Amino acid sequence: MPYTPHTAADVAAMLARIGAPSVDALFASIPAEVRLPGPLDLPPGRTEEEVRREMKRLAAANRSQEELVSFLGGGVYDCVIPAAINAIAGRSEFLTAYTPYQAEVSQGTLQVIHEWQTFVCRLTGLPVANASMYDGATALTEAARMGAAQRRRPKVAVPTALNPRYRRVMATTLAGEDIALAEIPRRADGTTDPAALRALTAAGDVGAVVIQNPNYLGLVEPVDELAAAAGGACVIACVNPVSLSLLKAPAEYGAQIAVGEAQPLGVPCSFGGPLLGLLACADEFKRLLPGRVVGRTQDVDGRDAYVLTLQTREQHIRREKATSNICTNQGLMALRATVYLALLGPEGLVELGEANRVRCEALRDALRRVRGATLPFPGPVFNEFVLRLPRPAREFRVFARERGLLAGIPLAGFAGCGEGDLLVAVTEKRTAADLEAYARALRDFLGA
Amino acid sequence: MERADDKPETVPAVRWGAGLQASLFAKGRAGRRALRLPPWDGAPVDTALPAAARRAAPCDLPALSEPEVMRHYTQLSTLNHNIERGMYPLGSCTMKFNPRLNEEVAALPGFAALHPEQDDADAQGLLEALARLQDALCRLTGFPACSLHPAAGAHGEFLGMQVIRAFHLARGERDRDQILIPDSAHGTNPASVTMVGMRPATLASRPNGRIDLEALRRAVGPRTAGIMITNPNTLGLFETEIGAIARVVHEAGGRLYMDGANFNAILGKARPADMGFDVVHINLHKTFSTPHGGGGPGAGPICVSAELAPFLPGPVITRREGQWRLEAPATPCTPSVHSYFGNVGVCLRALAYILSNGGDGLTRVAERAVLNANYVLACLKDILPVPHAEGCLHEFVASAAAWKEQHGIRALDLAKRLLDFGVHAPTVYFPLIVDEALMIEPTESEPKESLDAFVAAIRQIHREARTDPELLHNAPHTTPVRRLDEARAARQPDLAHLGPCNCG
Amino acid sequence: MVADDRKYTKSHEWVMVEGSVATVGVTEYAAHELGDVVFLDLPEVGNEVARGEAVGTIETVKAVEDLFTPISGEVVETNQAVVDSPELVNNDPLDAGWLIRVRLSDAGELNQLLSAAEYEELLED
Repeated sequence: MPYTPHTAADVAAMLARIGAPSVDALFASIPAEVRLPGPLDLPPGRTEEEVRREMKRLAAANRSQEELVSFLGGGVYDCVIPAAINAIAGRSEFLTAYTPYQAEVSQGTLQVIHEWQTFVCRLTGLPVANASMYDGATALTEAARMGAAQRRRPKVAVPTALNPRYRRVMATTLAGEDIALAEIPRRADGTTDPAALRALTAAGDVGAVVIQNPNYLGLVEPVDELAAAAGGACVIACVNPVSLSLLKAPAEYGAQIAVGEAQPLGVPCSFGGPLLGLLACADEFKRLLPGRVVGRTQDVDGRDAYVLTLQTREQHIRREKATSNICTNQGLMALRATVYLALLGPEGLVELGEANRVRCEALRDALRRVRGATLPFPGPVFNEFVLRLPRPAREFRVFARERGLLAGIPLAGFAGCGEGDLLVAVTEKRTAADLEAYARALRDFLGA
Repeated sequence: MERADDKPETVPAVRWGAGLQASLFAKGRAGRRALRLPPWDGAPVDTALPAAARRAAPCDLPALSEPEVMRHYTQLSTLNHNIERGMYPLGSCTMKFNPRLNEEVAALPGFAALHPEQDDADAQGLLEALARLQDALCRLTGFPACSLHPAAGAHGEFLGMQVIRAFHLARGERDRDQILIPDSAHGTNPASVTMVGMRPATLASRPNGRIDLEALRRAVGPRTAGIMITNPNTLGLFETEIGAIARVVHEAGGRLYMDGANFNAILGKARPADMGFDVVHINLHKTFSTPHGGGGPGAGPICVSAELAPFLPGPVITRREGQWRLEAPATPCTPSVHSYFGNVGVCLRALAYILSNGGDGLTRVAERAVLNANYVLACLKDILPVPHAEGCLHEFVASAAAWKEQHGIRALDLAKRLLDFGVHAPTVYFPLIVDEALMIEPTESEPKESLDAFVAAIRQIHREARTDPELLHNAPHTTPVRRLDEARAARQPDLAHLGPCNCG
Repeated sequence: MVADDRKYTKSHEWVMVEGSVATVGVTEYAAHELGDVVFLDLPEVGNEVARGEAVGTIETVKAVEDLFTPISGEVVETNQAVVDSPELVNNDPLDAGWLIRVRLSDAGELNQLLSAAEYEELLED
């Protein structure tokens, strides 16, 4: 058997020591009425090479962003992954360790998490962060619970232009806690309407206000005006951390909680998982934080050392009164993002942000010139924008796919968008030739 | 060249492994760079972000070269215990060997570079792989339907509770909001129940560590939504009366949820559906060997009975006209617990593990895990009593209460001293129903020699408890750092390094 | 020896009355059993509290205990010093580590508390 070391002699010696006649006798406590009568209905085991071949066959039956030129986004992006990340994340010492319960033999993992918390704090401008969440959607959901609980108000205001997948997860999770979602409409220019938010919060029952920046349409929101219209509710910023290289940090517009999807920081797309949720907050929310948190302290010899802390929030102590049920999070993904930020440094981070923004603006500019195509929302963007076509966007997606391009995400039905609207993302990986191919495909599709 | 009048600075030699934990945020020097991004090769872009949108203060990060980054993280890594360094008998966590093949196949670009918004046609191989994993999990659990969406065990619990809640609501039974939970349960169980808006009620265990059927009969009623049972339970014991338990709960109108954290013990031996359960979650990072990664990512798929299948989250994988498809949610009330389809990369590793082992190998996984646990128990029970030893499966919970009484040595001291022997400590002080608990789970991947070394280490620690208890109170002695001031960490939380970077 | 200038409860709180205001804290025994106290959540001044009610929490590194008030009345003061330095509960539970002050609404409740001698007996059991 591939992964069990026992010889027949080992088994015999161990059974003798136990005083059991057979291995099967060790399962005697399972009553006959629930025992599986025969062998499992699964094929027999296979050699490593056979499994490799089979998995390669399955992988080869896909057409990934490795072969196709991707303009897909919506929360997950085709990004550069430096070689150093895979080298470090592949080390057994990080890969095969578990949650650092025994701090004395887990300082590597603990210090990395503390570094991750530090990076999240520096990006968002907030003083406290946790060890990570499953993804952006669950991070936002937990933030909404924190905000509503701390303000003791039952409503959470979310923009129409919020990522619809995040909104679905929020609706599922918050229903059980009697937290209602209220919608902040968007303006004609695609950004969220501060006046409508002010009207919504005037009643005093909104505990938290979500600002997604950039929003799902790719647009930079009027964050200062929105935060000012929150009227005593907790302001939750939902961000792409790469955009924080250039865009206003959540703390700079008064957000008390920041969440986001950190996949673009060195995590493969992997069909949407594992991803990496980030969560940071102001000091007053510290004890409502879900999940694991690492703190710096000293050992008995006075050496700096790191340890899991503020554990009384967690389910293993507070049980049904815990802030959340999360325990296993996305540790290895947080390691990847931490290594990436260490590699980027202050200049690299800004370069990465600019690389996204410049390419995105270049494509916007090129598509603006294609006859028949329009850009319905002219405001500032970071790396994503809406393209409006006179024909269904789905048809263009099929047309472009024939040319090896993943053209974007059709937006029909979302936030007042029509059949012709397509969400187009441009990351640092795209070249001038990729952008030219996109523009050409669009021209050919529209017969322009 | 050194001049005669120079006084060279004395550099003390350090022992291997010491002093490796210098802060990243003190290491940077202004001007250093590691990574460069591809320059923009198109026409210049003249748009700029408006001032109101821009960040006022640039993000202050350490500036490092790639060699420094590699050295920093490689040094940090050496401070970690891990499965490939030594035994990791952390009870309930199932720290078994993580095959490297699984890492290799999950990283294949055909999987890792797939975007979740691509068309089904571009993801045929991936959808087939996920469908095959679902099918294997259904065969292993006996259920007809599976959802791979939950990203961790607790996430699976949450979804499972959602499904049970939605089922009762759909039948107009709004008042069924109580979930019974045995007192030996993991803390995630009551936390998950609360999150879906139901109420947990605790069931006391019998003296033999199993569910008290009479207490259960008294506890069920018209408000019973269900029961959460970890089987085998956190003491490593199979619930022998599970058939009767299931009948009592079903007759009361409730549904049975199995916390599959310990599913590895019964692979190929018994299936949750046959025991009368309606839902089970499975920790792929325990039973199916995907790496724990220092705290994730894991995956906590759930399998459910036919009557609960309509309440699973969408999209679901289907096959029509020879094509694999992701079908949108069937009803608007369908839950959604993840941005996309869960931790797909973890699922691929689990599939590779299942293919490698096959049905025969998976059964042997359970057999060897149970053999190893019973062997260690047999070798230690004279010095480390196991209050609930009878019928122990893949793990057991020993009590150091006698050590505490006789020598003032607590479970924590024993655990910390084990670290000096290159072994990770067992889970301590859980479950709560055993005094000075040490929860030991060797897993099937440990050879007999390492089990013998583990037993020898504990026997030596037992001698030390008599002869040199201070040695244990102050343990560990050989680790990169020694016992930590946890009270200080909690009283004055220092959760981030916020001073300026690159000042050196 | 148990200090005989105050009254006690079976759940290891002490109560010291001056005029109509009672000061409440935890006993030395409780402080020792709890271990290192790291955080306190005390009720807001002005709250009406009822005897036996959980009015706050005392947290150690790995546990959370409810703080029960042994007497009814209005919370007139809470000890900010212990909130800022929770170790005071361990180091000086009977004096600087006091927790809340309550204006008694029913002085009769005091008769149901334990005397120093009775509490000492309880500890010996």
